[in-house]
Formats: sequence, structure tokens, C-alpha cells
Amino acid sequence: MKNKNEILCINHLKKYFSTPKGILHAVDDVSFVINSNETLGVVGESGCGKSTLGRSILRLNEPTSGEVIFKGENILQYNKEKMKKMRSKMQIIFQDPYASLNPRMTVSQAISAPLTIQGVYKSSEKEKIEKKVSEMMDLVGLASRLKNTYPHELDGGRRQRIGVARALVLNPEFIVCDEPVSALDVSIQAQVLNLMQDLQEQFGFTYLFITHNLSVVKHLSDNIVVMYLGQLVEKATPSQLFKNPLHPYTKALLSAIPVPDPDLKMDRVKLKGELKSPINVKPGCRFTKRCVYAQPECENKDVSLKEIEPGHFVACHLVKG
Amino acid sequence: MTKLLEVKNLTICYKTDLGVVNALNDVSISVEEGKTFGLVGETGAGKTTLAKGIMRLTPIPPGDVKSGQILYNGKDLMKLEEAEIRKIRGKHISMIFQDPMTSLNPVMTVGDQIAEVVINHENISVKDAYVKTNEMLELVEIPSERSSEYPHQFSGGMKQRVIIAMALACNPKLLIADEPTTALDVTIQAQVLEMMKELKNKFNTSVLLITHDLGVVAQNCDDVAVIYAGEVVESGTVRDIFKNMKHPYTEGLFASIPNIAEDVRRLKPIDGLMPDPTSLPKGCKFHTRCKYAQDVCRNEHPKMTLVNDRHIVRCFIQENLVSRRDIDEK
Amino acid sequence: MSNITKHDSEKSRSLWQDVARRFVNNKLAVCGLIFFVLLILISISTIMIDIITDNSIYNEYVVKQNLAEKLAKPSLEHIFGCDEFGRSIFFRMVWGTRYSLFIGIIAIFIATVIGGFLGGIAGYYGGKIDNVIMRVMDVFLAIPSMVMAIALVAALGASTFNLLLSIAIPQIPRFARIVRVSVMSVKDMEFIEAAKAVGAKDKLIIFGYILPNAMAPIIVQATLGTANAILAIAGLSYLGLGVQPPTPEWGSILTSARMYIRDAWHISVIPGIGIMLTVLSLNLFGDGLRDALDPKLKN
Repeated sequence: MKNKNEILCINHLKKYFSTPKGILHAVDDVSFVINSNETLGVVGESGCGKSTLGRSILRLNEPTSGEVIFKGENILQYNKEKMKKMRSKMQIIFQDPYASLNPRMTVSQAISAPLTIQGVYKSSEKEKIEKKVSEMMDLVGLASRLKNTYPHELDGGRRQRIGVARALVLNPEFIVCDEPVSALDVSIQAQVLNLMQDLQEQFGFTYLFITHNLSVVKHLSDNIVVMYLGQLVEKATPSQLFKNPLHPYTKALLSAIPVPDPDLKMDRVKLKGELKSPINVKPGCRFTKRCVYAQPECENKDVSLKEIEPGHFVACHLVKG
Repeated sequence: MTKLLEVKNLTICYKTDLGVVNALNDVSISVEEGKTFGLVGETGAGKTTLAKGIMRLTPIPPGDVKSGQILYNGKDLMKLEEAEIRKIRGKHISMIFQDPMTSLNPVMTVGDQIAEVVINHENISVKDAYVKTNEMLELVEIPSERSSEYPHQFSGGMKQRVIIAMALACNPKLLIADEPTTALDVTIQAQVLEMMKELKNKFNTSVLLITHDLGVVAQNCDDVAVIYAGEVVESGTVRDIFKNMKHPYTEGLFASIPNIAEDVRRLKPIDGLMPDPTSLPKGCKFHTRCKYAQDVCRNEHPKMTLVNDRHIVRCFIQENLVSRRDIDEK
Repeated sequence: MSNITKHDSEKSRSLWQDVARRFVNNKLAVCGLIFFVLLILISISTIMIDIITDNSIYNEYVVKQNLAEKLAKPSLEHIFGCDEFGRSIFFRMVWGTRYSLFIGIIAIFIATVIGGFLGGIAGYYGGKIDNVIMRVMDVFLAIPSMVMAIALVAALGASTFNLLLSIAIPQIPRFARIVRVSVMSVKDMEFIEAAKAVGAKDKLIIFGYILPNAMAPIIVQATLGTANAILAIAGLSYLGLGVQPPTPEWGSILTSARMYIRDAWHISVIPGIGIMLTVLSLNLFGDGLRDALDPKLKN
């Protein structure tokens, strides 16, 4: 290992789906590193492959090729048994607190399910399970009287707390957060974000935080990657990215955020056309068709991330280091 | 400025088998001609109920319009016959819904759908209606050749633009947009909002923009009302609300969103949850979550109090019955 | 309005309790259920009586011929009248409930289990397995169920067990289809992925997570299917392929009554009404269940 803090290293990860129209390059040659106890934000618009990326890392869908090196070992080579054990170290929090909970399970059943599945406790060890469940509910701020309620009786914020508790009950080290607050109202969203931050400080979790909300990602992340049509186009710290966005797509994305201040008007960097699916992609920069700065060289030469300033990477022919 | 739409003391509830949901309680707002009025609130605050109420689209039952007036150009829409209100809908007031995926009829071409609206409301020939349709499509930057295509052949942002074209086809005086961009990506949202703004200026349409996104409000609205648990808690010009907010709920909303412009290590969320609309608390509806709440807030209902001639707020702090000082000093 | 919060004091309700609450509000459906339960109770009690009395009541009142009372009109003594052999229609109807009802219920149970298993596998694994299973089911669906039932009984011979099979087999593809669709709609939900993310095995995911959430349409189909099966049994018996005389099956009562419809209308009308009410009650019950289970109608 190059860096002793490095917990997860993704190398040339690819996930292709075959569709009737051709091969969909959902995640195409993505590489990055996450350090322990840090948050990597993944931003992009719908269809850019960010959710597929998170699921591929956890092998919820099997990557086409590449490496996922978790604490020095490539988990893509693990067999079923080894992978099952590894799952307790890597967890996921889902976007939709309505769809991500089994409607037939009570709160305590939902939180305790991972314990019995992983064999931490046998289902006969009721007392131990119950103790652990109340501990977790306490941790995520759910009142213990809600233990026997069903998800449909609770509001979105509380459901998402159940989702968080379920992900944390196995003491994971790395958590993929797939748009965990997008479905929540702002006041509730802030409660859940604070909870996630507190838990990270307390237990030293590493987050891969997937979202389309740039202000949320800026607030939480130590590093941010911007994804476009299955590829990374820019990687930087939040301050670098927000003060000095280099990729034309990042610029457009940032300028499109409506700022909650009537006196602050952004000059919008316009985009041509709309997002297409990355089906049967051609070589060259995938952003060319929508880029207002596009040059002939962009159309046929592939681009890869290059470091422009320390820690700030961009994949664009037009940005010269 | 003349008031195009005035909603006065509108109260709507829904009777469900779990109890009576008090969706809107005594709501009054007014939209001025040529202006954009933003209505901000969270899920379940009553935003959509208000929009549907104005269009007289409240489903009855379970809905029940208890009281209130909806004055459009001085005429009370509540008193109109169903046939008369149908002439107002689409022609004078039209509406855009949140989800572009389900607001279009999947088995009709977009051109036919727009033309149908035009033919229904304008006294023109079918041929002219299609000319008008193509004009409207060009206006929202969709090539008119695509008018013979079906909704599934369009992307989400384009569908929402088709819906805007349809809504504006009869030059309505008022456009009610219920979360028009929530289902869209930011870059597409920016395109759609910009287009709405341009068209609004071009046709001098008034817009009632319903959203939960404070950024969208700041960038697009002239006047704003904040709605909480079926009640307007604060309203005024956009500058009043964003620069000189008075209600603790409004303050809480702003503290809850991570700000792009500055770095805040921790957000300050509003504690607790929106009260159950089947059993709203006595007194101020916000007192269960308000850090300044005193006995008077728990027992009595605050009145709308003027801050300046436009800016009104429903809070005992403004009535000088409760002080912020004791809490803020702690 | 589903995201309202509950009061602290309110007791927690599971989804099934919610369904029960909505079902009870539907008066017609409750009537259907009551009638159906009543029929089941009647058939169980006649079976009990037969066991206790060692078939003496059955022999005395249900099958024993009494030509003196041949085609008697309804009277105080025989409230539904008598048939062509002078047997009380009332007793024959009461004793006849068990055949249609239990053959129907058992046939649908078999169809649900086999069809559910096939559909579940097809829906969960998809791909080739799905294709093979569902194409076979399509072949079955292409044959009208009555024709298939007649063919089966004709080939295997008329007996109660063969009747059961000939009712159950044509129903299997319907259940396979319904289960497959509802499994497919549930299997891509995030809570299934959450279970996979903690390493749950396929068996647990299918039986612990997917099936309980895919039950609703299966239950509805089973109820409505039972009504169909009862009709089919009556139909087969009417054609002489089902339960054989002198067993008092409703369809076979109807058949023998056919000859006397001009002289004794009551013999054909009464079993007809019996079949109709049974099927109607099951349909009302099934429709009520469907409405109660449909989340779109919730509040």
C-alpha cells in the first residue's frame, strides 16, 4: 500500500450492461482512492452511472472488469463465503426510505436482520439482539417506543434513520451512501446529514457519498469526483472545485445551482442539448456534443484525468497544466 | 399594481378514515399581475392543496372546501358553475404539475395534445390550431417537426417544456406551476426555469410557483409566502423573506440548507417533525418545534402582523408578546 | 397523507391489520365472506354428522329413493321440494356443499402451490429459466380450461381425484403468471438489495422478503379462482364427467333436473341459485380483498 490511510482503492472499474440498443457503458474505467475516515462525494446527474458505481463496488451488481481493493485485497476475486463475511465491513444506505425497508418487518426486525443473516447472533439469542437493537436505535435517534412499529407508520426522516441503523449494526468501516437525503424535506435532511457526520466522527466511518445535490456534497466531502456518462471528469477538494472548477461540465453544473440569495445572480454556463445514455460510445471526450468550447481534437482523442494542481484532476483536452 | 388573483381565508380539509386532515387553514395570498409569486413549504404543508383549490380541482370527497374566496380579476371562482370554471381553466389559469413523465398522455402525439387545448378554448379552425401549436413548440425550443412524436420519444426536460408550451398555448393570465422542476436535473432545471422566466416576461403572465427549493424561489420570484402545516406563516417580497426573515420557521429553513457560498461545519436543523395534520396543536402550529416557544404560543393562535406594508408574519415575537433574547443569549 | 406521524399512544398496526380494517368497511365483501364461511361450516358439520351417525342420515335422507314423493313441490315437509326419485332437495343441497367447495378449494390450493413455485422461480431468476417455464405455461393457457378438464377426465376416467386434477391443472398457468409478475415487481426494490448487501442467501430473500410482499395478488386470484373452480366442477358434473350419481353434487342435481324442467322447475332452480350464490359470494369477497390490498386506495 502506498498510503497507510488508504482504505479503498478502485482501479479501472467497468460495468457494462447489454441492452437491446447496444452496450451501455454505465461505469467506464473509473479509478480513485478513498482514505480512511474521509468522505468522497460523487456528483452527477441522473443516468451518469453514480449509483451503478456504488453498487458495483459492493458487488451488488458484478463489475465487468477492474479492481476493488478494500484494505489491500481485491474483493472482486473473493468467493461467495469470503464475500459474505466481507459484507459486514462494507454497507450501503439507500436513497428511497420508502422502498428500502421491507414493509412487512417492524423497525426492530429490520435493524436486527443483518445480525442474524451474518450469524453475529443466532435468532434464539433474543436478549442480545434486543439489546443491540435498542443500542442502535438510540444511536440514530429513534425513540425505543417505535421498536414494534412498521415503516409505513413512520415519516421519511425516521425511516431513513432505520436505514442508517441497519447499515451500521454490523460495525462496518466503509459505507456507500446512495442519495441518502434526496427524498427528504430540507429540515429533515439537515437532521440526517448531521447524524451521519456525528457518526463518522464517533466511529471513523469512510463514506462514499453519492448525490446530485452539489451543496450537500460540498458540505460533507473531503474530496469530490464529478461523473459524466460513466466517467470521472474532475476530482478535487470542495474548495478547489467550487472556487476553481476546470471542466466545462463542472462549470455548467455549478452555475446551474439556484443560489438562495436574490441578490446573487450566477452567470450560467450553458449546455447544448441533453444528456444521452452512454450506449455504444465512440472514442473521444463524451462531453463534446454539449460543450460550448469543443475543438476538433475533443471528438476523436480519448481523455484521461490529469493533475493540474496538487489534488486537482481534470479530464479535458482544453485545460493545460 | 393590480392584484390578479386573491385567495382569501381558504380552508380545505380532507376526511379520511384516520380522521380529518386539516390541509389548509385560513390561507390568504395574492398574486399581482405580471409577477411571480413563490409558495415555499415542505411535504404536507398544503402547497398542492392550495394549487388545486385555486383551480377548483379539489377532489370532493374526500376533500371539503370549508370556507374562503378565490378572487380572479375580482370575480369569485368559488361561486362559478362547473361549466364556467372549465372555461377559466386552461384559458385564464393553467397549471403545470411536478412529474413531466405522467402529465402527458402517452398515446397522443405532443402536437395533438397541444392543439386539443387550443381548439377547446379558442374559436379557431383546426388548421390554425396546429399553426399555433408549432409556434408554441418553437417557443420552448423544440423543433416543430417533432410535434408528430409521442411523449416517450422526448427526454424529461423536453417533456416539461412541452407541458409549458401546452400550459401557455392559450395565453393564460396566470400560470400555476407545482414543483415544475423537482423531477429534473440541475442543468435541465436551470434551462426550464430560464425559459419560464422569458415566456412570463414576453406574455406578461403571472406565475404562482410552488416549490420547496429556496434557491429556485430566490432566483425566480418577486413575492414569497412560507407555508407551514396549512398556514401562511410569513409573506412578503423576496428581499423581505431572504434578507429580513422574521418567523422562526423561515429562519430554520435557511439554517437547514447547506450554503454553496459559505462554509458551515454543521447545519442547524429544525428539531422535531411537522405536526400530524389530523390533530394540529393548539396555539401556534409551529410551537412544538420552536425554540422560542412560550406559554402564549402554546395556548393562543398568533395573528398576521405587519412588519412593513408588504411583509407580514404570524408570530408572537412580532406581536412583542415573546422575546428572543433569553434564548439567544444562552 | 401517508407520511403523517402517529401519536405516541396509538398502537402499531401491521399492513395486514390495515388490510383487515379496510376490508371490514366494505359491507358487500363482508357479506360474501360470511356466506362463504357459512358454507364451509355447513359442509364440515355434514361430514361430522356422517362420521358420528355412520352415514345413517346420509343413507336415509340423501340417497334413499322414495318414489311416492316424486317431484313433490316445495312444502313445509320438504322446503325445497323433492327430485325425480322423491329425495328431499334440501338435504341433497346441504350434503352437496362439501363436494364443490372442498374440491374447489383443494384444486386451487394445488394450483397455487405449483403455479406459485414455477412463477416464483421464473420471476426471480429470469433469463432462460423464465423463458422455458413461461412458454410451457403459454401452451397450457392456449387450451380452453374446460376443454382441457374434459380431456383430462375423459382420459383418466371419472373419479373425484381425477376431477381434482382436471380442475387444478388448467389453473396452474394463471397462478404462475401472477406470481411471476408480482415477484418481478418486488425483487428489484431496494430492501431486497439491502438484504443482499448483508449477504442474505437466495432462499431467505425469496421466502422471507419477496413472497410476503407478493402475496396480495395471489390471495385475490386464489379467491376468484375458487369461484371459477366451483363453476367448473358443477359444469363437469353436469356433463356427467364429475361427481357421479347418486352423490348429491350440485352440478349433477342440476343435470338430472334437466328432464323435468317443465313439470318441476324447482329442482333445477334451487341448485342453480346455490351455485350462483356461492360463486357470487366468492367474487364479492375476492373483489373486496383486492380493494383492501390495493395501496393506491389507501386513504
